[in-house]
Amino acid sequence: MQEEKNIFSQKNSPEALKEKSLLAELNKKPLLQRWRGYLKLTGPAAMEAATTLGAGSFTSAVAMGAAYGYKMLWVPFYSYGVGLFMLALAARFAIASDIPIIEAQNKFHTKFVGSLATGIIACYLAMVVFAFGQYALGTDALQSLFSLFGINFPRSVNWIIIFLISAYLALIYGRHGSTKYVKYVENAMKIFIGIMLITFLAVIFKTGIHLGAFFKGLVIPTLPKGIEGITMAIAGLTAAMGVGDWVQFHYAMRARGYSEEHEQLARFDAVVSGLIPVTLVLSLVTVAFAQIYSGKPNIPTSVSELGSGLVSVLPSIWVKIAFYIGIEAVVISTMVGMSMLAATTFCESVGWAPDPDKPYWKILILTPQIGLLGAFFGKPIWAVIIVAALQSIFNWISGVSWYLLGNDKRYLGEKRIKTRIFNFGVLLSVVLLNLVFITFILSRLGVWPNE
Amino acid sequence: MNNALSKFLEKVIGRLTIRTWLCFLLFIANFLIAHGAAMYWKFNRSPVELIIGIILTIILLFILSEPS
Repeated sequence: MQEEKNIFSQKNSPEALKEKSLLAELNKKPLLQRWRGYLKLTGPAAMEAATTLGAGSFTSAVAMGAAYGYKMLWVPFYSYGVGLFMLALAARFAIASDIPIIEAQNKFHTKFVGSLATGIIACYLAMVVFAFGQYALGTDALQSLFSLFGINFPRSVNWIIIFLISAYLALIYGRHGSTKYVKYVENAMKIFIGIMLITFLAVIFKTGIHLGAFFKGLVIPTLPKGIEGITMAIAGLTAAMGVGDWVQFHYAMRARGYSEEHEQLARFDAVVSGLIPVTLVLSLVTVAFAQIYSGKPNIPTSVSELGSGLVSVLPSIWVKIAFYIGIEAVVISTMVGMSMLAATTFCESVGWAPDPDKPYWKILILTPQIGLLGAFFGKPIWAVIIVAALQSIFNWISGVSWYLLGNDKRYLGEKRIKTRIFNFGVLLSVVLLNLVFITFILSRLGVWPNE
Repeated sequence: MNNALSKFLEKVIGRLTIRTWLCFLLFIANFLIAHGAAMYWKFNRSPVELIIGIILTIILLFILSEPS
């Protein structure tokens, strides 16, 4: 009988033990030397960042740039900044206990909280439904890219490119239960993020940038007064990071066999491979569209039209190509991350071993690829609304559960949260998720204004 | 003081720790903020509910940030 492998139980794998002894030495080195060493070992946060940088965040960045100029640049920076505490907690769970987070939530807070709220609703369903938007954006960009050369490559055919690359990378993640294949996919995600940075930077070189306004918009949050300001603050601060991101980071670290020696690396990774690239990529997109549209009359409302408008004013064919390639990097890397998260959370929720060599894992990892129908029909708005509503209703439960587990001796023993600042940061995310749920209900009751 | 607060938060009442009950109270405090904000800005009512919600949230954040 074939041995069952668990990709998220790698602490004693030869690669993880080797990394552990390397880190034991590295953690004692001076700061710069340590950071240089960490740079070679990063990866789980790139998986998470690649998933965050998807069609949803790209579309928001485009719309915010066109409508508000540089004023909303703070959104991804602050949103990810607040979320860093949850990523640090995800790391603590991964290094301090042999029980993965959804299993721990099931054990200590019931299956309603673990399997249903966190596993199925916040992660699995969201990954499947939001995949439609990825294909809708990616195939549209591919069609436009080929039209630059006068080639008609319609969405109904070009989806296969996104499918083949993303399905291949998703299917080899953790193959044979080996961290070698985990790192392979992590490195691919880093390359995709690098492509996004280079291509969108190339666009900025052509559109121009006001550096003063850029730094002001990035650091100083601008909000309208009153209830609109609160609505915008809640939406903004929860924009770049959600329960799915925390869960993905946690399992990506488990797939690398993280142990106590990895905690500093995990925090470094969250900033260097997460916060910085996510903020930079989304800011570059926002700036490009701010430069072209902000303050002008009759701004198009669809992302497709906004994109075409931007491309039409770019003087160089190479930069036009770069823009569309950047979008493909956004879409393909997100499909890989979403696929990995969907298979992981489904297995964890129903108690199946997360073994990448099993047929059920391969089927599960391909389920978000149903989003390819987005190339033909666009996003199923009704499904997106239902899943977004379910997330608004259930995510706060996951947030409270994570905070409680972070302070739970039964789960973390002596590695439970020991500082006020850590707890405070985690509670900030809990408050935001509470407000998302409450304002969602109040808006349905006609008390809170609809967005 | 901190040790006393920490022990208090870990006491069990009705099968749940006080920390868990206070999380539910935090949820209610957050409700007061959102509902109070809507009442104040949308319906021009008194800001008292909003102010109570903010004060309660700050106090609870202070208490709940105490590690176990």
